[in-house]
Amino acid sequence: MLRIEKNTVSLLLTGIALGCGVTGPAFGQVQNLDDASARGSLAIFADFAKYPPESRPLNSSNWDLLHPWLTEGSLMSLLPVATVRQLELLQNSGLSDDEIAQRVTMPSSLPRYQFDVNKTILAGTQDTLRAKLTVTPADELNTPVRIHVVKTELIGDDYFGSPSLGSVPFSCDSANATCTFEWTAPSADKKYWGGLQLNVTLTVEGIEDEYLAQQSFYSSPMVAGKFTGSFNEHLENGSLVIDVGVDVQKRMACFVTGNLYSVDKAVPAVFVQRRMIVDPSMKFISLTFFGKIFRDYGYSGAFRLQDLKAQCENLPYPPEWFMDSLAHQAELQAFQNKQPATMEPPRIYFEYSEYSYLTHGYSNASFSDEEWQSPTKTRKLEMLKKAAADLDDPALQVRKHP
Amino acid sequence: MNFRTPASLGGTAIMRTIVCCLSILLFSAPTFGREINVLLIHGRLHNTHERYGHFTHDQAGAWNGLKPLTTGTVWYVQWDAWNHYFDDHSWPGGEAVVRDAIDAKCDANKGQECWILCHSAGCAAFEDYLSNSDYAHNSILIEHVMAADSAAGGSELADNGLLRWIGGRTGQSGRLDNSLKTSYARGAYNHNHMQGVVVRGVGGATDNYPLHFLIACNFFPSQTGGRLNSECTPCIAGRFGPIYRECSDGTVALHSSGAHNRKASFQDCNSRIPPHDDTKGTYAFHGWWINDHVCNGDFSQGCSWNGPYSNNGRSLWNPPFKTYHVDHSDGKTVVVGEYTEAPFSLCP
Repeated sequence: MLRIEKNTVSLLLTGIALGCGVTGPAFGQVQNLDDASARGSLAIFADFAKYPPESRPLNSSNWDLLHPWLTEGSLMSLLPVATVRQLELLQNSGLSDDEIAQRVTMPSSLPRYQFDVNKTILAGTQDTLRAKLTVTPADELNTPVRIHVVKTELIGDDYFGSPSLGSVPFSCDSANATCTFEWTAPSADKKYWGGLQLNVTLTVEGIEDEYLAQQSFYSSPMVAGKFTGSFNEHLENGSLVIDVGVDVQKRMACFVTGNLYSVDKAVPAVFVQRRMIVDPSMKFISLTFFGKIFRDYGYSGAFRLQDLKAQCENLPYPPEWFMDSLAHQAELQAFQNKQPATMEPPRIYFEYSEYSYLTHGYSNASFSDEEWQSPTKTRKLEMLKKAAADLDDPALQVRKHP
Repeated sequence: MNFRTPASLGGTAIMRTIVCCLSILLFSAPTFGREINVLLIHGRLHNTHERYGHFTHDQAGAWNGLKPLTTGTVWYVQWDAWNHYFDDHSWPGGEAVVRDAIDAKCDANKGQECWILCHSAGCAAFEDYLSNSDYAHNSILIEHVMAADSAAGGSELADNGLLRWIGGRTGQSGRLDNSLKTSYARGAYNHNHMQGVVVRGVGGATDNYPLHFLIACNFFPSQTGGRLNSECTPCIAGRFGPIYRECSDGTVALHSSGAHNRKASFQDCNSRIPPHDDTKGTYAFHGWWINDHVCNGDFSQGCSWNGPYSNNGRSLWNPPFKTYHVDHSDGKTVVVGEYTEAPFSLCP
């Protein structure tokens, strides 16, 4: 690739603009690139790296982090089973979308359903899914209708051929307006592992059609380990460190996460995520809650650690390769041709637990106000600075197209 | 709707001028003392002739021949987006192929840096890689991510099996579809953990997409009230009920393409890219393509928009809501067009 000096670039681009007679409104004008530029990327990373990647501020808007086991449900229409079959036939006959739209028989209004679930990730054989199904007519969104459950079936992960895992126990309220389905993995058998789907075939009072309501969730009946409920705490370099007791069964690359709440303010304060290899020899995993976060947000007093979760990667190669793929690039590339004959779901969890831990009280001044420092941060900032310097030339703020 | 290539823009004279300019620009494009790589990561695709890895041409046709104009090199990252989950570590699963391409082409220790353009499930694969990687501690350098129609938050059409009617082999599901269920996609990785890399999304909100007769007003979240996005699908509850608006591109709702941190109805895309700090539920380091430096969700302010840069992008842009009037496949055209027409310093 041709290398040219920056001032040459400026002259060249100006020359191109004049020579081609381009008079577009933005050509040659300096754009305000704000944080979208490479300089902005540098600023954003520098701001991000005030705190270490493993310890981040947490607040009430972080819905997903505050509900680590759940993706909420939403209202959806119930499609008649007969309509789906008709759609299949029409599509298999090679008709276009428009032709199908003209021929398919869609009811004028469809009842709607929603599953309210307690969680969408199950970890272990003691963890239970509870899914409450409510069906409402299309025109009266808040009034449930009576339903009759014809059939329930749990379908296994496609990695195992989507096997039928049997029916799912349920109970309905006296008015048959809501039905609650409960399922716990009967064993750690692989067939209960992965993305499972609850299928409920039902009828709605006053309508002849049969409908299918579906709810998916992830199941990890076998576990990589469990939390024991033991905790220790101490301050280290102005950060709060909580050692969490574990009983590890498998050596795996895992993401261990937890939420720290300020008891005094009754608000979420710090999220922690450790990327690490867990090993059966481990008795504790240390979670570091970075001091400057406490200082910047004015936290003091006691704190409560909760929402512990360990998500482990089911890798077809050693966990060290995952932890540092650049260092193991050659091995990983060689491994591309040695893939296992059978594929498996990508994740295994630690057993679900509701352990929480209340810390001692701390003054705000107990925590360090120092930003995160590390050689890796310095190197990354240097890389970004160099990239920003390369691109930080007004002559480059022209558009490639007029 | 297609990105307007130079050939469709006008007469022969204009074409000659543009070709002249482009030729000069391409052959004299500035270099930056490093190797710039633009990685295009495709979404859900069924192509039995596809080769897996990263290639300098659109071998699988996933991008319909679209290629962003760059001073660097365009790499088409091809993974098995039919038989593998987006977060599959085994080759040619999403995580495995994306990681391989990034390790090979985005390593600052080798003088490389990357710009990422992803589409749909390709964005889920990329984000899964990035979130679970050691990015903040290693030598990988990613400058910018443009996410078109991102399926990182999953699709309701995967939840109920209807995705099999969209694209690919109509009427058949790929194994990938299981990983695009909303609970799976949102539970697979920490979507906030982009480690300082910004992801700017092109979120499609339109009332015109394939199988509209079947999908519209049935499966995606909707809402009523004030300040609704008029480009979203209008739905009426009952005979006389209020009008709801359902915002999607026909395959994913804005909760996914707009990187919202919960599965709910959204009329717009917001931003958590500093200085913005949307408190209504956007994943960290996500925002819309492309930024303004004044507003933070307050539509009454006079925003100073920097993009879109392409005529196509501008014509599809819905500024108050930061959405694009595109269906699920057209977002690809927008991001390639935007990369092509943006300033060198933003998209070299």
